[in-house]
Amino acid sequence: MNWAAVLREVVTWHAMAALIGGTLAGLFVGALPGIGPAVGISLLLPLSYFLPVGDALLFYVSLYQAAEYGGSITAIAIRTPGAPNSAAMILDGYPLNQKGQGGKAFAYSLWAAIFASYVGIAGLFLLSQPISGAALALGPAGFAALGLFGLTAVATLSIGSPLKGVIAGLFGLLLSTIGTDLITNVQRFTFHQPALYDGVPLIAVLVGVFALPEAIRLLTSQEQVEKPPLSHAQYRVWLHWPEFRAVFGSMSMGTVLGFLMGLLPGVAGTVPPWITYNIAKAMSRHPERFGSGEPEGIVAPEATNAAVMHSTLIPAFTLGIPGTPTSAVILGAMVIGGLHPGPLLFAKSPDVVYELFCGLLISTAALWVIGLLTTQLWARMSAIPKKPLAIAIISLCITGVFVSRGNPVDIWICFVFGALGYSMDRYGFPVAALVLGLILGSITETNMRQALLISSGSPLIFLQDPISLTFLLLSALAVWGGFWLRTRVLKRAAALASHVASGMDGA
Amino acid sequence: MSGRLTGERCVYVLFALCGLFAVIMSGSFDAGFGPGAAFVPKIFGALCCVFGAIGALAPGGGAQARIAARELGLIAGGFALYGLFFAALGFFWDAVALALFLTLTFVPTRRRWIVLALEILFVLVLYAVFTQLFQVQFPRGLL
Repeated sequence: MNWAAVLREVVTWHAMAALIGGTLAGLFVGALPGIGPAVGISLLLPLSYFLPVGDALLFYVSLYQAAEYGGSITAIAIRTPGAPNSAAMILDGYPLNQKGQGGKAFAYSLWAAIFASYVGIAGLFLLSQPISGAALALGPAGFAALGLFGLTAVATLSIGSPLKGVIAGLFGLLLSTIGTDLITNVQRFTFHQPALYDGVPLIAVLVGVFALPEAIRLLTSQEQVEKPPLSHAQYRVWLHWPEFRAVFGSMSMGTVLGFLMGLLPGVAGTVPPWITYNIAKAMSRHPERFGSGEPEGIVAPEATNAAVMHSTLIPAFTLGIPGTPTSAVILGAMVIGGLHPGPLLFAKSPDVVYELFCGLLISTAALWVIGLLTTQLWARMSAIPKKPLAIAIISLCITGVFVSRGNPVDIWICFVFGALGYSMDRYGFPVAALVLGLILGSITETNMRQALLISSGSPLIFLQDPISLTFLLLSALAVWGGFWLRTRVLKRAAALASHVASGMDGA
Repeated sequence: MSGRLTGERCVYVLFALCGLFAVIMSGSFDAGFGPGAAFVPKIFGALCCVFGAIGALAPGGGAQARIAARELGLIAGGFALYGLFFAALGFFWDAVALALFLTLTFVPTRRRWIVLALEILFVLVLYAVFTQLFQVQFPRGLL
């Protein structure tokens, strides 16, 4: 690896503009309740047609990173999480703010995010190449089983009914078959529509299932959002060394556990911060202080969120299996940019990947500086009226989807998937599983058919290949684990969340 | 089965029908169950159909939310409106018209005109960014 060339590419003006722009965009979308990084990235996906793929990736990943802290800003300022996985920040962040120490609460959150981000980036550097190298040993049967494992894990391990997750994943797989079959050149489900010859347009689908449902929800919501306090003193974001040292243990615990949980597809998301919050409380010398502004109750979930964000990129880049909806959208951006996430990514485009990793080192520092200076601004952003924002989002969806291919049919496809995404979200079907099925479907199908051709049609090849057998067993374990998690851990986490939320409503 | 038509059951039925459709349609792609173009649509279509039917026939459980007529009306109405605007105005102006209509419909009266002005400014900025910065050609120009 030519590190000099990589670093030269990272410090160019356009790469710097991408990472700073992504950081600012991430803080903005993170601070707006209900928007979140997945919606933000999907809205800005059309940019990937106009930017070099390295800059586009740097923009989206910087956005993802900054949005994690952005979601905590509103959780601390107005008791409303900017994203679902920031909900745990309300427990101690908001009470600390109410005591007049909002700046300290933001500081604990920001420092924890920065610390965990650098640990996560170190993990990206150390683990990505070895995992990718090991994955190169996969044959067609192994690749197909890997795709099925990823899909099964996301479908069954996320919160909600495993049956709904499996159905969503299967539907995504079916959607991936629309278009021209690469092996036999047969048109499948195109109905002689040229717009579908290359398959369903990925941008239209991603914008439709992520951004449009949120816009509809904002437009029809009657919810009133509390206005943030106006005192400038409450936004002085700084930690002294003794304060940092006092929470270092919880911060480290949240980082390590979050990093490990983020490696597992489907587990990452809203559950890990609640788990580490509980552990921090159990480990603390003063558990009775949790819920009333205890700093350890802020740093543990924040560090977890930041670590999860980075570690989900490892299976996404090395195996092509995104662990969160946002990393699924980032994979979509990579596919649009001509990259092929998975084991071949490091073999064919190592410079792009390592430019991204090096760029993250700089964007994390940028997040720290921008966070120190502008937290008050983002807290005020949360008071933006939701209905005009929703209308702006719809305008951006329509325009952005059109410019990706210049085809008005894409807008109708976006609307159809918007209606589908809204219905799925409303009734508990995980959209992430559908998106993952769509992204992984082509690779999974191609390898499955190649394996069957090698074995002259015998499905035993999937059991005879040891790697394939391992992934199939892991898939079965994921199905069992999904039911176990749902009945034990997730129910407890959900009960804790609702108990605390109802307690805060009554306070 | 509770016999109650809920939004959740409708989604299950939708997925089951899509799976069934995929199985039927894929019969014309190639012959047999071998690893041809029909292989994945048949297998996963059948699974989608079966699981969707299981979910639709399950007795109760999960969200028993009724179909929200207001929400359906909003989505269907949005489709129809956009189609009308597109037919009448062509692209870009249809997006502008939809934004203005939504503003007049959903934004409270006292803020309506300020928001209208800001929305118009926003779409003009979008137009400028895409046409000048990214050199995108819209089918009908601004003028």
